[in-house]
Amino acid sequence: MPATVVLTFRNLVKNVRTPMLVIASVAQPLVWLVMFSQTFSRLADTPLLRGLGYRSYLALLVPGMMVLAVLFTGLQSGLAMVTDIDSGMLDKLRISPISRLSILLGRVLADSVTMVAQGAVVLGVGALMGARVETGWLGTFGMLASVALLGVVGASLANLIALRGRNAELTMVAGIFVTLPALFLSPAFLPLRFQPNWVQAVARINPASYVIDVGQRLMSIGNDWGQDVRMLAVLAVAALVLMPATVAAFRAATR
Amino acid sequence: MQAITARSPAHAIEVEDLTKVYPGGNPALNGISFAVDRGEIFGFLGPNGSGKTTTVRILVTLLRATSGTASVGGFDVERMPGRIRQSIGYTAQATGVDDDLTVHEHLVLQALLHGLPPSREQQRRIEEVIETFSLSEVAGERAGRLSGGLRRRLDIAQAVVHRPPVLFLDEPTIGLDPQSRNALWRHLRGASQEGTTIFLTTQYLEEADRACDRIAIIDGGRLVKEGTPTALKSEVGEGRLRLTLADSADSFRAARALALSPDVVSVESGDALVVRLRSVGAGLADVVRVLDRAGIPIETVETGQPTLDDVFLRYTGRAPRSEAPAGAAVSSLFAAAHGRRRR
Repeated sequence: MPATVVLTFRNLVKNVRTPMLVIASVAQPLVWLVMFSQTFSRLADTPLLRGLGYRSYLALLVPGMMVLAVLFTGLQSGLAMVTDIDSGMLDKLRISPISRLSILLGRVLADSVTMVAQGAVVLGVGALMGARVETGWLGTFGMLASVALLGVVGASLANLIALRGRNAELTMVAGIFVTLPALFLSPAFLPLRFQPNWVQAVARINPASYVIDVGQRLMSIGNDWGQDVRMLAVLAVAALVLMPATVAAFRAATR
Repeated sequence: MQAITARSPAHAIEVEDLTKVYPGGNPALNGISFAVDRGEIFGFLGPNGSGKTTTVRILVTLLRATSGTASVGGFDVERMPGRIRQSIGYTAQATGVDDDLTVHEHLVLQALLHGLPPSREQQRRIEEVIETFSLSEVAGERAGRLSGGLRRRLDIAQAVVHRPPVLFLDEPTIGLDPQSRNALWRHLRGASQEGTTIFLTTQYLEEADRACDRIAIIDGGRLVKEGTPTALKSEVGEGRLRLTLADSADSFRAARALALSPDVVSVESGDALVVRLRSVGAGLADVVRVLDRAGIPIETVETGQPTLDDVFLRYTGRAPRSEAPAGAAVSSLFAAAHGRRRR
């Protein structure tokens, strides 16, 4: 049985056994979804916004809150790695005849299952509040898949920090330091064209921004293949940088 | 296993001039060399910080040496760590268990990771180690709810479930009750008879004395002595006396008088006098005569074989550890060392 499958299963079992963690990281985005859509509705839910094609401010918010949920889960993935280091489980894996990549893949694949579930919960709550996915089931699938891909990239980064730092507090602080700007320097709360030039410039190198933009199009406007391809390219680049760096961190840990 | 038989190296473990300097310049190993035969139980003894764990971690491919060579099963740790991982089991000093998984799940996970697919054979081996380490009552419990001793047993069970040809145990008996220790030693003895090579570290000298075929003493990153427990003990002296004096105020004077006797190898004075002799037969009479002549009345005399504590003290210049598992020999040594410090 491939080690990646074994480890994915192990990590999923752990997630199921500590449901509070999974629930906690989706609770925050749900609170934000309800809060922001209510408090900002008079200010933001304007003809100007609708003129750009967005169905409502709520519909604009949903993709960003899905991203927030998966980034939190990615952060937890790094914290779980620190736990594995501290508990000696990582050493157990490292002396097994399995590839270092499978240790990372086993973790992020399990995370991605959790992330799809969390994305679905945010979408579901959004739908209950009145924001539907205008592009139907295919668009829904696209949204879930793209946030899970971003989540996996985020989880790889968190695991990299965990392996280099070997410290839960450091991983936590670094994770939040990355997560919140990734969200605010994107169209999550406001279309980019209403934001300053420098934010637009930063958003261009922010993978989360691409995923949120694609999500917002799928929610309200319709699919844009060009934007989909750009998003996949940015995610692929991020994954190609982070995955080998994380695998290298496993090796460096033996020095 | 196959690979090892095919290559049939001379030794299961070979270490040549191994050094390790940690980042920051802290030297942990200063060039150690030794070899362990197939099927041997090899004990690595040393005080805290002597380099035991560093050696083990290099051998199990978790740490890279600074210089020197090491091989396990004929495979070099630097060039073929993957092949080594196919043939080892390992327990670290700190237990490697996952609080969220059950005891049984841990064993399945280890079996799978070490290439033992789900099968009757896998089930049989898991049941076997659960039996050996008396884990059946907690097999369905999550590890987070286990006591320290049970976690330790689970950890050792994990290391042996796939029957590795070479087993590394870093201080395996810490936190184990006497029954569990005995079960562990029985298991290791059996595995060794079936050809498993066992490399273990311990600070418990008595244990190493009873369980190991051969012992190396490491101190300050150097190998100070190597040999069978019997050979090491006979080098220190054949006999050992423990004397209590009628008046303990005499002990320093008694030690001085005895140290001059040709049969006496060394004397420790404390609450009791511990005298190491070249041979008990001639030595005992001599000791009694010397003390009688000096007018020092003896209250009790106990004779005994020298322990590895004596070996340790002789080669490293200090006692191995203060709190020992059991045994009067160790506690008397503690008393002696303690008494000396007080004075």
